[in-house]
Amino acid sequence: MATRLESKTLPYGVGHLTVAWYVVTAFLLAILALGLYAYSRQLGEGEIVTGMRDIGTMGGAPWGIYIAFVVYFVGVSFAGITIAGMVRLLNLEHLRPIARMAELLTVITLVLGAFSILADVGQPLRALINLPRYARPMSPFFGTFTLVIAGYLFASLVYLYLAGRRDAAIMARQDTRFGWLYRLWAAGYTDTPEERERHRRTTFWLALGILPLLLTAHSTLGFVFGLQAGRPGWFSALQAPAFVVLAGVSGTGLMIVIAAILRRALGATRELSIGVFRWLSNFLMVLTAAYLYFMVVEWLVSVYAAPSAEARVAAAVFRGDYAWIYWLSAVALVASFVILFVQYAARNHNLALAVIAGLLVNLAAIGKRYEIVIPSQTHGTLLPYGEGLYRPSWVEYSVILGLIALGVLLYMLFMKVFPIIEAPESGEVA
Amino acid sequence: MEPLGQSRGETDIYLDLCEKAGLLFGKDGFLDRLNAELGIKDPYRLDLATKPAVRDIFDRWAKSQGLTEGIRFFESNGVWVKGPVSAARYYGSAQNPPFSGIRQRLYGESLLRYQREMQARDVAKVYWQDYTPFPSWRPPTMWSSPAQYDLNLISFKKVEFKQGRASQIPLLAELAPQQRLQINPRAAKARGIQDGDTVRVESHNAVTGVTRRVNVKAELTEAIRPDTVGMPHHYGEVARHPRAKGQGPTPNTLFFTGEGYVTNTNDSSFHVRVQVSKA
Amino acid sequence: MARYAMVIDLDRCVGCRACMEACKVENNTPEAAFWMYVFRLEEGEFPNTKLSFLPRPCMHCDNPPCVKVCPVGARYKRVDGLVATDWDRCIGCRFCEVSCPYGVNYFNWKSPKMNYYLEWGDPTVQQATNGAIPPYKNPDLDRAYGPEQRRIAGSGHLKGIIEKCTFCAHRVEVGLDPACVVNCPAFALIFGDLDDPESEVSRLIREKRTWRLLEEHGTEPRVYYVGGAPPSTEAHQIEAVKARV
Repeated sequence: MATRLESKTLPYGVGHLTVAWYVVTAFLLAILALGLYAYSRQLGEGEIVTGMRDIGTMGGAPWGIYIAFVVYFVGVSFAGITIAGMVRLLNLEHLRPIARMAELLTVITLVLGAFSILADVGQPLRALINLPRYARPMSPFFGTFTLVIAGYLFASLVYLYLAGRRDAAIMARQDTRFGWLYRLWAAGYTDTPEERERHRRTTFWLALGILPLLLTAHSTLGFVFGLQAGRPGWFSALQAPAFVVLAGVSGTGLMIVIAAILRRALGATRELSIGVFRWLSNFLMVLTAAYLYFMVVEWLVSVYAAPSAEARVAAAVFRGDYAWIYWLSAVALVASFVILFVQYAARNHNLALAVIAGLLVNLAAIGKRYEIVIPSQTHGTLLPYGEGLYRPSWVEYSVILGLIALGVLLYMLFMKVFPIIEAPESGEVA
Repeated sequence: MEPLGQSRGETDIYLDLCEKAGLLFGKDGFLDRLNAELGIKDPYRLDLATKPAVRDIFDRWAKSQGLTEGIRFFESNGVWVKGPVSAARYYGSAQNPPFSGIRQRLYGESLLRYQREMQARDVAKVYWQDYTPFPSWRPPTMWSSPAQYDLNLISFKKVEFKQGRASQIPLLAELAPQQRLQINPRAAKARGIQDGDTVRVESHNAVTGVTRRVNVKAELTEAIRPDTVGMPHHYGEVARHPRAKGQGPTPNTLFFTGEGYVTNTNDSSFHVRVQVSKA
Repeated sequence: MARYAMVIDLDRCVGCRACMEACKVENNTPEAAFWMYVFRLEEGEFPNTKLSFLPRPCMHCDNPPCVKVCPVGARYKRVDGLVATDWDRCIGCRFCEVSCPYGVNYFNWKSPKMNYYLEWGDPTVQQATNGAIPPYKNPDLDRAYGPEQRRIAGSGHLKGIIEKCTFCAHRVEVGLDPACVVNCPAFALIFGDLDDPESEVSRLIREKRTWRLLEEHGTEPRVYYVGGAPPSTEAHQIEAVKARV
């Protein structure tokens, strides 16, 4: 029956801790410690240690890179669950190997998004209590915090749990340190055809339910900005759909990067075949094209005959203080589209190029989030206050880096405890 | 009571001064005038040849008023005012000023006298040029400064502060934290100055040739003429209060109080011409 | 029930900013927070320069964007018209601040104790002030007001929350006018009840031509201006209090 197996025989590096893994983990822990220290400074002295200041007489921006990264993290979470959902809904079997890593990405980035929000509010303990206690659906924040965190995250966790039960059952048969976890996870799972069928149906309907939820969640995130008539540059019907599309772009791009890293690290060239990357690259190409369309429309509308306040913000974005961020992001997106399109047209998909495209779109997404959040505050006052200034401080950078490090750390820890790639469907389980 | 420390009563000082100046004794001397001013009557009149004690002077005055005990009366009883004093006695024509108080002295004979006297004594023109009986215009002294000093400097008060003592009050200083030189944007552009730049302001005394300079931040505003710059008062750390440190200079540093700029008559222009450049 | 509003007579305002100081002293606002603010604006090119002054309290809008976006309902609109912030409930997300077109919200970036103009812990200051701890603790600012009995008055309560002009809710509660109104040397600020046809605000709105700031945004502000004109796009501030904390 269950014999003591060497850790080497556990799938996909589970339980196998190499020196490289330790080194990377130590590095990430150091960054996380820096982030925690920076946050402690913020808790102690108040948000004066950040670069954020009041709009108006103080000439600052009260929402800075914390909020920009809330949007980015929640945006990235889109792709994970979408890909995992599409595997189920559209029966894209060759994508099954990346389903779990996509789901994990969603869960982790949603957690990071929630932490970003908590890092940003002035009274985080009150936020944890008062947000659920007094939640007001009229506020777009409700959509962000409640729909996204409570609803979307919960649904994703359930999905991850359900989709992992089969692998948990497989792992439980082996004598490992985390046997208790696998048994708990797989509780009651028997690998019979009926079970598998029930499993397939459940995950199908869950995926179907999550997709509209995620569309609503990302749209309300766009509404946080798009509904504010008092903020020139924000007030636009485009914000909601543009947020959804950019979410897809950044998430898919990050999936390509993660899959490429894991392919190399785990030697999983069979599971993570070029076909997987081909599909992801094409998907990314379509989304990037869609987002570039949004950007062109937004640019055209801003510069044609916009009212003076909007024109002022547009001038700051396209020609003024923020021009470098905007144009770098735009160039990155166009470059990545070109890379992907050429590969698609030539039907020749190169892994390295796909990874570059994935990285470029993510950098562009971060730049674009920054450019959405900040300029309308510093240059978008409707009363004659004059221009403002926002420069993030080391505290903000450290907290964000700490959060990213936390995300990577959680991802790596999960990989060592549970197989990151699903065991094949047809495989027999003893 | 006795004077404190090394201070002395003012009458003591006057007596000593006049004695040293040779004005104390004799006819028309200080003692003679005292007799008249204080209304000291015979037989209490001060002897014009001896220096009295101050107490003695007032004792004689009291006795002249009809108090036989002299000053001891007030030492025992204190001072009281005898009867109601009519306003007219003290304020005179201010109660019913002629022409309802609208009165402007247009002609000052005494000024003409001073002028003629100084001319007769060969005093330099700069000392008496403004002693004119009628208010009359002359080119302001500042116009004689060299052409490089091409801006007029004016100063003004701000509504937030009173004099130099208020700029250290934190609540008020918050509204106007620092000194600024107000300059027209056209004038600023011609000198390569942008809003907020530190500039050097140098003034010139056309009479003595002395120049003074300060460094101050510039504020561009269309509300001032291109040929003029303005600097408000209230700064300059004159109160030497730690909170007023670093607020900026006072325009008083740039103005001059000598001849040609400040006179005894109220009708001269003390403004100076300055040159402004990026510091 | 009263319906409070404010009328600002720009023909009388001389831009002295006494109202800003009065508000600051009455409500203990920390450094760089100006619940009441007066713009000193200039436009045009010399010699056709125009100067104007524009006092800007919170507009206490009837259709307030800040109330809509508050995720916890700390910002709310009272029946008598005041838009108030419950400082017991505010979580400091600053959504009201970014949604306000007028820019009237102020966040406590520092602990207010550290933000009151002097180093109050310094021994020489302690000696000079006889051990006083700022701000002067006006107990009225800690009480609950209004029919909802929520704590909405005063400033400088906690770090990490938003505060803004309250139309001096603690004064209005006992029938007094806000501090800015009472202290204006030119009587340019008038406060009163719109439901009372004989109040000065009602009369002014009825008899004079009034306008409101950013009316086209549909916020329905409760602050009316008499005289002057809405600031043009050319107007810019001079003598701005660009106080950053």
